[in-house]
Amino acid sequence: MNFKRIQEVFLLAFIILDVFLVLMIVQNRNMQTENTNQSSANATIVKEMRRDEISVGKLSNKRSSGYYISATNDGNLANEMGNLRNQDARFENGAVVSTLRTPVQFDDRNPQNTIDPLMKKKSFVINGDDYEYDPNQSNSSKIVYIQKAMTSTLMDNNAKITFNLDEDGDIKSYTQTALTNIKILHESAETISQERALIWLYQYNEIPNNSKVLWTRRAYTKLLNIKNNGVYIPTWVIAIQTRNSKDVSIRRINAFTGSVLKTENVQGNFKNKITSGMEDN
Amino acid sequence: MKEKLKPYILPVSLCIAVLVSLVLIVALLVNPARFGSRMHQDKSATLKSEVSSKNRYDIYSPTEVIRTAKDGKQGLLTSETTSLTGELVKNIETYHVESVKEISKDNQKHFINTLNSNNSLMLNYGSEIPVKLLSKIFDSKVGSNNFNVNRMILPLGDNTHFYLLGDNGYHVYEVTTKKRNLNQLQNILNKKIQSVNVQMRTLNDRPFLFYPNRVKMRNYGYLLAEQSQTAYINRVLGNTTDTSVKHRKKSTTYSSRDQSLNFDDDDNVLYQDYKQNKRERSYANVLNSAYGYANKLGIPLDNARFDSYNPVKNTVTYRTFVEGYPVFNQKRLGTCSFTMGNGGATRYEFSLLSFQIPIPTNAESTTLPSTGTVLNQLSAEGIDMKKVRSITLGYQVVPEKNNKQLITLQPSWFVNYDGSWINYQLIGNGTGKESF
Repeated sequence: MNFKRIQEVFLLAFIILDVFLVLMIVQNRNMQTENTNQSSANATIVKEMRRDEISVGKLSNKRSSGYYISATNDGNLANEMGNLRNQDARFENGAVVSTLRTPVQFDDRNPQNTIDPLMKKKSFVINGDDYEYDPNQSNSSKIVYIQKAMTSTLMDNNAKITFNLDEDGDIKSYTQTALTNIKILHESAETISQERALIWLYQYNEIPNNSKVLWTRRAYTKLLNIKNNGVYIPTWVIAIQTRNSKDVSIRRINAFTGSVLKTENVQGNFKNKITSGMEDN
Repeated sequence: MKEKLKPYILPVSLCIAVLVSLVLIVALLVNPARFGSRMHQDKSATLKSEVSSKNRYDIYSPTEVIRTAKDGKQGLLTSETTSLTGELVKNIETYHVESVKEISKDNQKHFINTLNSNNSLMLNYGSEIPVKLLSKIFDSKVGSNNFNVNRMILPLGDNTHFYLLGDNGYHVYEVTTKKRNLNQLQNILNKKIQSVNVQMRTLNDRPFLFYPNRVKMRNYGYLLAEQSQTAYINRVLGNTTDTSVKHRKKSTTYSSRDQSLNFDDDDNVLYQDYKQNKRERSYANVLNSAYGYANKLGIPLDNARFDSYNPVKNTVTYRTFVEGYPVFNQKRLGTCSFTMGNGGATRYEFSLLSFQIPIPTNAESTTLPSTGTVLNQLSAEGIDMKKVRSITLGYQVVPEKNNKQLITLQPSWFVNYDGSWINYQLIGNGTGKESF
């Protein structure tokens, strides 16, 4: 091979090397843009979620605040059933179970437009003003109203009214539960945003790939049971559906700490007094 | 001409290609984007700490808020629903400081008069702290000011001045600001706030809060969280290979060449770092280091505030506060302390247990006698009143017998007797003293 040929081969090799290096620089610059231009790391992780084919919709990064609250099941509902009219109501396992004598028709598209005015009537349900319509839990066979608390809502089986629908889609009966004696246990504290809650759920591997986040709601849910009291905290409740199944799974994220929430039962009765039991190291 | 240049085209092109590749390689090596993926991982890793991590101004924030009305009546303000001190500190952070000057010192009368200024708010700190740590507003603008204070007086009728006071030496400093938004301050005070009658008085020449009437305080219950020993072992000794373990009857010590971690049966932890760290000279730096170490170790300081500094031992103590009142305990739970010894060795004492979830209690509230009654009672019991440095309302930790994770916080009076806090009900029989 003569010298000229060697030069040509080297020139070609270096041109290929240069093209490769230019491509690497462009690629790295894109990565850099991704890291620096996006307002936060959250956006990057949301992008990762989308890459894993998890559809999440638009997420809010607004933070808010909430309390630790305690509440007990309202056993007094039984005494208030006397005001109910045109229905056969009975008290069963802590709930008012009632069948309406005449089914109630309502606007299918906006059930709250018809039902909200009825909720204000003492003859329809007990303390109906304490509840608000929850479209997420409502479907073609039931309409759900959940109890309001501390400028938010309670998502708990002991704090809701479930209206059951008949074949014609009219309200034929309902079950009502309520929580009472709602008290603040601790001064307000900041809660995490919707975006952060979903990111943590994703990072805990609680959102499977190829799934859809149907809805998220910030509500008070039960953290633990103690001495007939429930302790409730602000929670991000997240409904997830995988694309190949119709099953919807509900996940809860503690809105104070960001941890996945499971309700605990704690035993204890606070009988100790200060006059005894002092211990020294 | 073309013919003359032709033999040079190939070697020149080759040289250019080589140079270009060299430039590109250098560009690629120095480009920060090369570390892009690592930056990304770091960001993800820091996400979790954002909720629990506390700002250093939060831990060094006031513990009491007292309002002096236009007629001179004073009330201790508390709120079950909002963090009053947190809201006030946020408001203070909006001030624009123009100048700070000392207007009096060693003048007890002027000092007490300033404390009791009509139509003002008084913010009290657990102990004297360097002005730099009071709020972000002092961090840069008046950074050259190097004095310690433990009270702040915010006049509610003067929007261009407020006062900083140091009990030790009766120092009064006047801070001139640009116009402050007094409406915002009023809005905070219009929230759901309880006021308890109090009077600022002196006890053995030290200002303290006197409650002329009986006081009703709310009882609290708490579920405790227990951190794992493993987490601390990994954090502290994770990368060392020369770790040894010694099991004793009531404790276990993990140690390496220059660090040791001791856990006892009561969940108390003693961490010692024998490395020759730089010994911090200034008080501000000691407080900053103490906070930095606590964060690095992962000690939960959610409800904690700076409580005291012992200049003899060089010890900084953080204490849990509930609804503005300090929590006292004969065990380590509720306090953590940091000591920087000579030669830079450091020592941290804390508990694996921390206050996690407030829970309802059987008894709603407790009524306590007035300060006068308590002081008379102590005197009648033969307590040397000259050794009483201070007296405060607080919460006593009472453990639940059946469940290690539950405690009750029982309101009581606490007396600082000769440097230690003691529950007034137990001072006579010599128990109830914080003995760590």
